[in-house]
This record gives sequence, structure tokens and C-alpha cells, in this order.
Amino acid sequence: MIKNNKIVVEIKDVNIFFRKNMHKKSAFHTVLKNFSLTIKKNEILGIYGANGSGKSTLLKLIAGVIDPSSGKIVNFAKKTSLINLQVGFAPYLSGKDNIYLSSMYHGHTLKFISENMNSIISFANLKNGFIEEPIINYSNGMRARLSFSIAVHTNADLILIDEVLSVGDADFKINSKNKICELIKSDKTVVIVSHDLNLLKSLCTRIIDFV
Amino acid sequence: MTLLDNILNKRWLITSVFRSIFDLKTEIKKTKISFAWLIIEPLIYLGIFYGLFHYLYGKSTQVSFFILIAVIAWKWFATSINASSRSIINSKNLINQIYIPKYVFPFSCVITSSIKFTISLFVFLIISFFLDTSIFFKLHYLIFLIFTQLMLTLSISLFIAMIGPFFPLVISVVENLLTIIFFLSGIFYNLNNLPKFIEYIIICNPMFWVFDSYKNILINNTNLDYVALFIIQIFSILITFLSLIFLKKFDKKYPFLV
Repeated sequence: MIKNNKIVVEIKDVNIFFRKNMHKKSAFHTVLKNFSLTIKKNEILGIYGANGSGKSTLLKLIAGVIDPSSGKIVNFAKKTSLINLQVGFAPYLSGKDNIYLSSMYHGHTLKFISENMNSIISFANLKNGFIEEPIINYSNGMRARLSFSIAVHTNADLILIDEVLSVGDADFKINSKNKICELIKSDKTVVIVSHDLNLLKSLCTRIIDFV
Repeated sequence: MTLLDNILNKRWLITSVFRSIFDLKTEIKKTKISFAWLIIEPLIYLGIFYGLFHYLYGKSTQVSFFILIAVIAWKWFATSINASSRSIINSKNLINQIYIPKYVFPFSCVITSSIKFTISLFVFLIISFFLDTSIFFKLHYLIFLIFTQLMLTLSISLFIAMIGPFFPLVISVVENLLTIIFFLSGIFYNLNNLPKFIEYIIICNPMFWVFDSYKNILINNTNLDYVALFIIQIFSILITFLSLIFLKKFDKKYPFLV
């Protein structure tokens, strides 16, 4: 059975700073300073904070896209999926092709992708025929729908959502809320980053104020 | 080999191949032309060069054929390096969202241009089937030479892709650098007529030796310069290894840089 106190991510005394370019004179940007956080299984963790407070960087750190400058992070999740607004879609390819590409990056086989294709498309709930259109014709909301749909179908047990929910329309918000509740029941963990406190309050089991 | 196993991984190699197939698809969709374009384009390209050199400049069929293979081989080399140089920066959104080993990007650029080169080569062979069949007896030399060029192309593409995000200047000047290398590779002239110091610069250019071998096969009917080609192969293997090691080392630094 699921142990509710099982730890999924453990972050200890993490510092992240970087130079934007190679010039020696350029200043160091400190993004996270002595930051510690523990995320438990089956949690819906909300992270609330102003722009530029390092929320997105934290998610990238958990997703394993970047390494901390110092400190320790352990991610026990088998698979982590990060959804953000700057999705890595190929703009001139159709939605369908992009589903193939994204799923390949997530490590799925072609067979798995073909089997799940219909389910991904129907959850994204795009307007008629848009799935065959190039991504460049999509609106922000439609891209968010598609990337959310791909991410929830990746079988990730840790899902990181970066501001995606706030761009969708009411219909998308309801759908995604239901989906997130469903995910939690199926033994998954979700971290949501937003500057919309009401949204977080309505969804999350725990909220961290990020300053 | 464990080192190589650590760096390269089957899953990501397959992903590189798929990326390049989708790259080709993107290109076709962008230009709104069908797949036939992949064959028509080299046909036009080769037709222009053949017409120019054979009919306008009155060169022999052999010399014109050398020019044809030289221009497609150069295009392969230059496109791979040019595309690789900005491949990591162009995938900015992607590498900020999901972890992908960074060698995937230059790899897929090289695969894309290699597919195009292969198509051009077939078009070239079809043309030569009608005009001059002697090339079919030298095919084994040609394959060895193309393999050497592939190694060189891959190594330099990886190297440029690795340093590009650290030094954006490299990306801006790579096209000009390629033009210089092109003019220093002795396609259109003979080495003997040049001042001594330029000769020294030219023999340091690996692409000079590659084109020299193409010349040997197609015009002079002599053997390949195996010593030079083996040196290029060893040089390529070294650069490939070094670049892969550094790409692995900086793997999670690139999202900050792009």
C-alpha cells in the first residue's frame, strides 16, 4: 500500500547562482540561497511567489534539467515531467507530429505513443482538425492544453506544472483540476507553481510562500 | 568502451534519428513542397554546376564531375557545421523543459545533412550513369573517402556545438570561417601556382586533403592519399571524444547559458 509519508524529493541547502555569459565581469545571479524542501508522495504542493523569485528554477532543478551550484537534491520519482509555457514544440510540425516528438523525449516507444495517441488528442480537446495543423497556428491556451495532455500521459509519477493552468479557459481549468485529482488517487505527486493564490488554494494540499 | 557507453545511449541515438527525420519534414512543410523536392533540389543544384563548368567554361566531363562531387561534399560539411553551431541554442525551450543529453542536437543536424547528401550522391550517380560510367569502377575509393569525411564532419560539428553556447561569437563567425575554409580547400585551383606561405596554411586544412582525394579519384585516376586520410580519421576520433566528454560535463550548464 501507499505510504503517505514517503519522500519523493529531498532538497537540502541548495544554492543556485550563475553567470549569464562568459565575461568575467558579469555579475552572479543568485536564484536560490540555502534552500531546503521535502516533497512527500501523493502531495499537491503549491508554490506561490512573485515573478523572478526562482519558482521556475526550482522546478527545473527538480526535473533534473539543471544541477545545483552547491547542496544536494535527490529525486526518488521514477519519472518526472515538467510542463511549462515555453514548451519545446517544433512550430512548423503538426500537433500530431509534436506528440510523437515530445513523447520520444520522454522515453516512450513508438508503439506506446500510437496506442495513447487518441487518448492524448481527446484530452487536449482541441477544436476540429487542429491536431493536423502546425503548432505555429495554435493559441497559447491550445499549446498549454496539448502539453498538459502529453505530460499527464507520460506515466510520470511526479508532475511539475509551471503557470500552465492560468492560461487556459474555464473549461480547461475544470478538466485539468479533475485530472490532477485523478492523478493524486493514482499514486502520483504534483507540484504546481503559480502567482494565482486562489487557484493554488482550491487545488493544493500544501502551499509554500516563495519569497 | 565503458566511457563511451556512459556518454552515448541507445535511446538518445534513436531520438537523434527521429529528430532529424522530423527536421526534414519541417523543412518540407515550411517550403510547402512535397517530398519530391528532396530529389529535385540536388538535381537543379548539380544541373547548374554541370552546365556552368562543362558548357560555359568548356571543362572536360571528368573535371565537371569532380566539381559536382566537390560542391555536394562541401554542402554536406558546411550545412552540418552551420546547423550544429546553433543547434543547442535553438532548442532553448526544450532543454529548459526536459533533460536531453546535448549531443543529440548536433547529432541530429549531422544525420539530417547526411541524408540530404546521400540523396544528392544518388542523383549524382544517376547523372554519371548517363554521361560517364567510369566512376562506378572507383566506387570503393569513394565510399572510403565519404566515410572519412563523415568522421571529420561529425567531430567538428560536435566541437562547434559544444563551444557555441559558451562563446556566441563563434556562432556569428562560423559562416565566415566556413567560407575561408572553402577557399583554402583548393577546389578551383592548383596548389603549385600559389605562394609558399599560403601553401603551408592550406595543407593544415583537413578539407584540402579530402578534396585532393576526390580529385585523385575523379580526375587524376591515382590512388587515395591514405596517410593524410588516416591522420584525418585519428584527428576526428580525438576531437569527437573530447567534445563528447565536455558535452557530458557541461550537460546541465547549458540551460543557464542559452
